[in-house]
Amino acid sequence: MASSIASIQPIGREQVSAWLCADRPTDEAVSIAPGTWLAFGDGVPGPGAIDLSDAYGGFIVTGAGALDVLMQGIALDLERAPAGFIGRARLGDIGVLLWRTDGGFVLRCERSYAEWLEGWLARAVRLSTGGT
Amino acid sequence: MSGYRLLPLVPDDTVEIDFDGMRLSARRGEPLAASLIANGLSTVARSFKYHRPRGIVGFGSWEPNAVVETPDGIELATNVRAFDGLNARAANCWPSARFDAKSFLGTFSALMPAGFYYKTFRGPGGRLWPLFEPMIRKAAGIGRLPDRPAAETPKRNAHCDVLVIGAGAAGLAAARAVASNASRIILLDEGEAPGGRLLDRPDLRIDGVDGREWARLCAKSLAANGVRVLARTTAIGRYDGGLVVALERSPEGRPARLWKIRAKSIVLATGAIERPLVFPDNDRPGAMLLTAALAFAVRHGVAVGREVVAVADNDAAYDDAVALAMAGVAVRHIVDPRVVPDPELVAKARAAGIECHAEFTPTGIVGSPVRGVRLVGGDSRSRTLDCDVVAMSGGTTPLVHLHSHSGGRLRHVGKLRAFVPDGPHDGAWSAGACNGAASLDEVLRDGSAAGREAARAAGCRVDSTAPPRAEGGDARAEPGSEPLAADVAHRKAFVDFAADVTIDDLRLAAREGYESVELLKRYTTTGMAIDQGRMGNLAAIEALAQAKRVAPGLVGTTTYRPPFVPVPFSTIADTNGTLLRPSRATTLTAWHEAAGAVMYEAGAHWRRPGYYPQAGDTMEAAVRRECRAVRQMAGMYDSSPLGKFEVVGPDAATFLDFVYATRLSDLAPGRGRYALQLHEDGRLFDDGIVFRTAMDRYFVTTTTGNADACHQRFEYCRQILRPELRVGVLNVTEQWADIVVCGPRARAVLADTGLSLPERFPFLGLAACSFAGLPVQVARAGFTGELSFEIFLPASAAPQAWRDLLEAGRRHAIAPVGSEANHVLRIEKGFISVGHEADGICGPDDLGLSFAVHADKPDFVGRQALLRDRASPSGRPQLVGLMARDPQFVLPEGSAVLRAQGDRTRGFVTASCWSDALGRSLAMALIEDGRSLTGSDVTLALADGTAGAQVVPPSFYDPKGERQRG
Repeated sequence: MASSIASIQPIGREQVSAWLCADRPTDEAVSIAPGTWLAFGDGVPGPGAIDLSDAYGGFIVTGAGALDVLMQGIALDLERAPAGFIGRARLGDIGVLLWRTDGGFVLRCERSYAEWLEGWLARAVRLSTGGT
Repeated sequence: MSGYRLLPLVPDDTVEIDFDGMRLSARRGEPLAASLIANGLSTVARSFKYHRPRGIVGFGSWEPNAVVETPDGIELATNVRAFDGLNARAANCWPSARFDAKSFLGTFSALMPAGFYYKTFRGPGGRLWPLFEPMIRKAAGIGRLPDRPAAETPKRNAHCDVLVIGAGAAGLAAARAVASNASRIILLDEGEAPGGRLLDRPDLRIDGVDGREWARLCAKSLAANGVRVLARTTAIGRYDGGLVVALERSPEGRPARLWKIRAKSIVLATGAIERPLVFPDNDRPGAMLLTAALAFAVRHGVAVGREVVAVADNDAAYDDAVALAMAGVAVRHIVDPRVVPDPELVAKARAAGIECHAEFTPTGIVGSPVRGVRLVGGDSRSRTLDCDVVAMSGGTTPLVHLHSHSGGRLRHVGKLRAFVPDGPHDGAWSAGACNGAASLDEVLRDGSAAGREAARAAGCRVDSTAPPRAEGGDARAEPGSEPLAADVAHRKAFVDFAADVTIDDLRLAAREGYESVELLKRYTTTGMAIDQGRMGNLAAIEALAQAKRVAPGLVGTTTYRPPFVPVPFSTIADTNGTLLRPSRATTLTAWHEAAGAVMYEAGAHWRRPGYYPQAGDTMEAAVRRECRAVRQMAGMYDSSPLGKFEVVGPDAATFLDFVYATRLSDLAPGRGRYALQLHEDGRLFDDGIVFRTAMDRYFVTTTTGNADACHQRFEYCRQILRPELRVGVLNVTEQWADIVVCGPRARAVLADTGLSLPERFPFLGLAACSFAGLPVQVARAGFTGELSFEIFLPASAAPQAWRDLLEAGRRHAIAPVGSEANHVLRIEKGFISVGHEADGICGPDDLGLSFAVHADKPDFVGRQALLRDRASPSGRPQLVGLMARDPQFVLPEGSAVLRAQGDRTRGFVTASCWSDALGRSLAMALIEDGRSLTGSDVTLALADGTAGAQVVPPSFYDPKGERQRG
């Protein structure tokens, strides 16, 4: 789905690895709870990794209006979030993982919510462009 | 009131609008209220209770009367903007505001005093209330909602260092005091342009510039320095932690965006609104606020009438009256109840051609709409002044509401006869008129000071330039008259226009003992209508203070709550049904939907198949067919939403022994056990099967609805209660799909798909297997009481596996099974369902689950409370089965259970169904000491009578469990 101000691209199935350990297992790992780590992308599984590749869905949100689209539902101060920022946030009624990239944002959610989130993002894009 | 345009309409800017069936010309973008006045309409509304004719009284959001219905919703005529094709009608009247069929109610107004409903309908016996309630409810309320759904209002979160609410003189001075280059500032204002009341007073100058121009340049400079300036935006609520919710409107006046702004510091520069005077018939069309008349004239070029009499008791009103005259409106008189008004102000008014009358009090209005105002002098002489507008000014009401929303205290200032904030509160500084500042210079200084304080608190740099200086605007809005008419001679003197509450209503309520302002509000409804008492609250408080013979400050105010101004629900709630609540789908949901399953939400937002009707099937027929398949051949269902967790670490066993009431540390790898989690109070929290997959690793299943709550509990126990344990918990619910194949042919179905099970695979065993080349885990478990296999496989592989199983199962007459059939199958077996039987009150012993509790463990969550329960076991609700005396009759779920007719309620039916396998109805119930009643009869109270049933053990089908273990 694309518009003049923001584009939403679903992320296909990707490698997701989880670890239950005290210290960060890899440089790519993100903490989602004390002692719980998550890494996305090929090549990161290591010893003790638990495969969660089917547990997550996601979207890449890019374009000049990407920030406005996400701030319709996310209360984090994304305007001040630099590229590279990683956070957990509540969007509407669901939890999401959020990365800020040079060109926009990467959003990941539990796979079962992906269909709903896609609808939510589509509406946010429409409302951002003045549609009703 | 015969309003007209001071500035003629220009064709390019002229639009045609409809109001109450009349076609009118209007200036594009002006408030509908201005259009109505300019077209000479006086009566544009009807009052809430008595249906008295009403006109425009206020301006912007401070209008108590003129509520209109538009295709976009119910709005104030002062906020709706004129555009081509606007079609509005007055609310709360029929067929129009000018000729209202319900106006006869006013004739009986003497019979409807304060507390009318309570006294008339809810008195001794209260027999009349059921009779009249439908009529009263139909008559109540203002306006009808449009037929079409409301447009969606986008929401927007924003953050800033300093939020300034109000872009009048104080707000602009405050924003200027923050060094904007280095800070994030948001400045919002309800108006179209910044300036607030500066916009109405061309005579005011700031820093040597026309006040209006100063405001424009100031806002422009702020915006150029990065300040986000939001016009047409009203802060509607302030909450803890610096959160402010604000509604931005489009140029047409429609809701355009709901802002949720989180600010480190807030400046509240919300100003003040004028108060009307309380005297008989002060609500007649043509009686309005002086400041509103001025705003219509200066901002929109509309004269509210041809002969204006200003009735005012404060100095500031003189300047406003002069400004109104300077704008071209014929202000003939100023009537002032005070004995000696400021001679300078009087001279200024006279120079503007206005005759001034000191020591005259208004005693009534002539005509409706207004044709004159009756006065009485200090020497008791009466006189009448002809006019078509009475412009009232009784001092101001500081808008302290946002200060109060998050708990800020107020103090009463005698000179203002008003409440103001008692200092800053929760990161918010009030400034200007809302803070009690009276002259323009005070307002500017107060604004600057608040801006500096707010900036410092937010860690921002403070602008070092001096505060702006005012020229003019010294006259103060401090009311000098007696607050309220002493004798209204049984004519209605309104305090609260919006709720139709008079001074007599308030005095009556006080005499009847409603001496608390909160009770007074609820008894009389003052402050409860569309303007939430903004216009009349102070007068109501003064009336109560007079009656109690105490100072108004001791009476206090009612509680101010959001929203600050009327807001359509559609701007807050989500109007899009499909996105209103999150919905979850398994990787098999698309298949279920394509197969025609009736889908509905079944726990934790999951969209699940209820049943799969075939052509012409009723739900009952579909459920029977699915149950038969499971009992006689094979069925399969999607159990993917089941909560699933990996618990890993050297102390995983100790951890689970602590979290669960069931011992799990002695499980051998590859084996599972039905296990219970208890609340701290010993009641059942959740159940599921826990499998051990290695000495340091468990695979835990929980109920679907409690999966997230279980995750929270696991983490709470891990991080807070037992941090010394070396264990981690990972929620793998989404990773693993769960396809359950069950029924006598289940093993054959799996074999036909090539899924090879271990030779020895006992009940509650778990085995790593291969399915179409894919590593999967298979468990001997299920919820139907039949031979059952749960196949846990990566979610993305589930659609193909499901199709393979269906194909392989075709020769075994396999059927997909929905949650309705599952419900029947589990009742037949007497399996509990958390949420039905485990309702937060029952413990494991109550539910016959003592076998799963190992109280000899040294500790587990809920152990102490469980032991306490066991010490006094009588009177507990206990799970039993019920067989209706009429086997064809399915007992309604929720029915109350009595031991006999006339007995008190002893329990209720938790689950009930028709069992095809047993050829009769079955039910489960929780009944006080129910197990002791086994074999005896009980009575069920139904909506239309009673039914009899026998108490039996709660397991109807294969009670020894031989089929599932087979």
